[in-house]
Amino acid sequence: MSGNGKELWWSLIASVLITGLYAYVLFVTQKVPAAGELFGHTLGILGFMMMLMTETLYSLRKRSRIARWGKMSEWLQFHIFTGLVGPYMVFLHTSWKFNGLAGAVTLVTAIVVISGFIGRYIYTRIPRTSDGIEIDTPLGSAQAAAIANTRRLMALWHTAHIPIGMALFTAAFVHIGGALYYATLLK
Amino acid sequence: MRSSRLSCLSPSAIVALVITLAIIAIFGFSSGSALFTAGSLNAHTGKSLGGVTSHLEIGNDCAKCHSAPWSSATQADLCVTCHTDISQQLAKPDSIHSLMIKNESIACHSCHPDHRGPNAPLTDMVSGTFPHDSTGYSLRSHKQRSDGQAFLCSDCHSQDVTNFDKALCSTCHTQANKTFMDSHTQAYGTECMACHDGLETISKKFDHSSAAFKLEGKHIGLNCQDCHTKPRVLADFLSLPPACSDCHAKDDAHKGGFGMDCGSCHKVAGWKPATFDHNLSAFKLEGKHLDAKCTDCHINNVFKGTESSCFACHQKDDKHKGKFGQDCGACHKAAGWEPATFDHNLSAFKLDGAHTKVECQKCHINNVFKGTSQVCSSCHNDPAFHLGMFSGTICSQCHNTSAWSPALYNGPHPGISNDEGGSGVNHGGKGCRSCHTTNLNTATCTQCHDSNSPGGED
Repeated sequence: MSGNGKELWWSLIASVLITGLYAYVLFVTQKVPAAGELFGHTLGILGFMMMLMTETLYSLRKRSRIARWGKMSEWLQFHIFTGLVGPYMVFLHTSWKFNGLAGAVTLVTAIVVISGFIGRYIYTRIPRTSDGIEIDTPLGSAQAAAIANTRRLMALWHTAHIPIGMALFTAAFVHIGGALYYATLLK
Repeated sequence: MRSSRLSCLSPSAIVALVITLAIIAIFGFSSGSALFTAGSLNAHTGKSLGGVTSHLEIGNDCAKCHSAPWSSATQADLCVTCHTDISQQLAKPDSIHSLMIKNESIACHSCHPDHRGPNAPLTDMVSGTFPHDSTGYSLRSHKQRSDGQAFLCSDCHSQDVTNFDKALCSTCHTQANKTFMDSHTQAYGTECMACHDGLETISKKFDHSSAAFKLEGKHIGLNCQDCHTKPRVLADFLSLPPACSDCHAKDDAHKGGFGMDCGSCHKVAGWKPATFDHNLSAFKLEGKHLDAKCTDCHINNVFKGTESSCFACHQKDDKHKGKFGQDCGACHKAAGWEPATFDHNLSAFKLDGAHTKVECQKCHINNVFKGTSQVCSSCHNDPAFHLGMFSGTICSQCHNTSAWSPALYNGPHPGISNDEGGSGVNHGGKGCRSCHTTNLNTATCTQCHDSNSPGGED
């Protein structure tokens, strides 16, 4: 796996650019972009789409027997990139209000993202090829035991990361439904 | 071994989904629709409408303001259900809310948002988003105050936005530029909105070529009120009569003496040079009169009715000091005083013979013309030849104006018979000097008579 953290740098650059755009809108309009207005709403939509992509496309690629284009390590990079930038855009979309379900969605998003950082950390403790395939070490050394522990931790992490992610998307869809009903589609 | 099933469909994921929905449902039913609130409602209280005195009192009854997307009712319909005062206002087409709803992009919440906390203002709109044009006055020129801050509604609508105090225009604008405002209101009055519509179609930038009267020459660059005196409404500008004299009667240097059609002589580029065709008048200009300035003949701006007789202007030039009368034109032409063509036969003394070749001043001494003596002797001295014999006698008894000689003497002539040798007293028609070679006292016969011609030479 290309462990140089390139995707982190891309995420940072993208976040900085988005922040710059947000700051410009803030300066021009002299008010915080509201969640339901053009800019704020677009942030939320695009951010959520990235979050959907991060969850679905990466998983599909991981498990599909047919659609196997691109290296897994690259897909992980994609997953991390969209999984960071998407939530960041959603965070800006909140207009810094955390009431009700919307606030809960923001909280769960933060939890998922943090858990992602944790998972990535554990992930890199496991020796892998440049393609991200785990390398089986030959001996029952202390190192092998440590690696086995790390693998168990990774599995445990998956057990947490995915259900929390599921809770997130469930809540997010309910939030979207409510926003559409009460705001977007209001005549 | 990896499952081919997506992890989001794993048991733990399904459980997570169900639990999440359950939690949401529990919260949803217990707190009403507060789950979806975007912030607490406004707590400002007022009169009781729809059973509440503030929006906050509505609590979690979201349906009071949020109509379902599939229902035909709009949010505005729900608003006026409680805000009956607004629904009454909407019956009047020029009320502020009626004007606003003409703009389809405006909704109640455009100016009256909520869910911004209990203490947020009930009305919150930036001047720029309100369609002010629909009130008949554009805010295009009222975006920023002179201090650089954006205009607020309250800057002009101090009490409430449904009213505008017209005196406010001059209050602010006098503060900004008193000198201009003083002259401006003096010229145009204080009903600012009679002309100003915010789009400032009437201003210094007004293109006068769009009007029927085109500005040219000295008309360009004038102030509007130099011609449009005391306009009070825009229509006053259109009603200005375009004849020259309508504005320029007061400038008439001719004091009406030339009529009212200024343009027949003057151009817009300036009063001077004027192109007056004098031949249109009773007095045609010719000769030296063409070079004269108007003021040389027309004193005190009197034009029509100016005396046209020569003497009326030229009396001061009269070298004859009135002796020749006042009809200068009898001898002089407009081309110049000289040459004068005086017909002496118009006078009492007819010129004939040698008199016709004599210069005027030979007989007329010291410019005395009329009254010059007509007696021969007043000009002609008695010659020594006569030896004073004829003093007291008129010259013309013997002489005529053709020449002194031959003189025709018919008086007593001693020694020679009147008829002898010829006709007339002069002895065969001879002149006096034929015999009287020196003077009348002496005579000789031999001028003509000698031995060769005893009968006398002719």
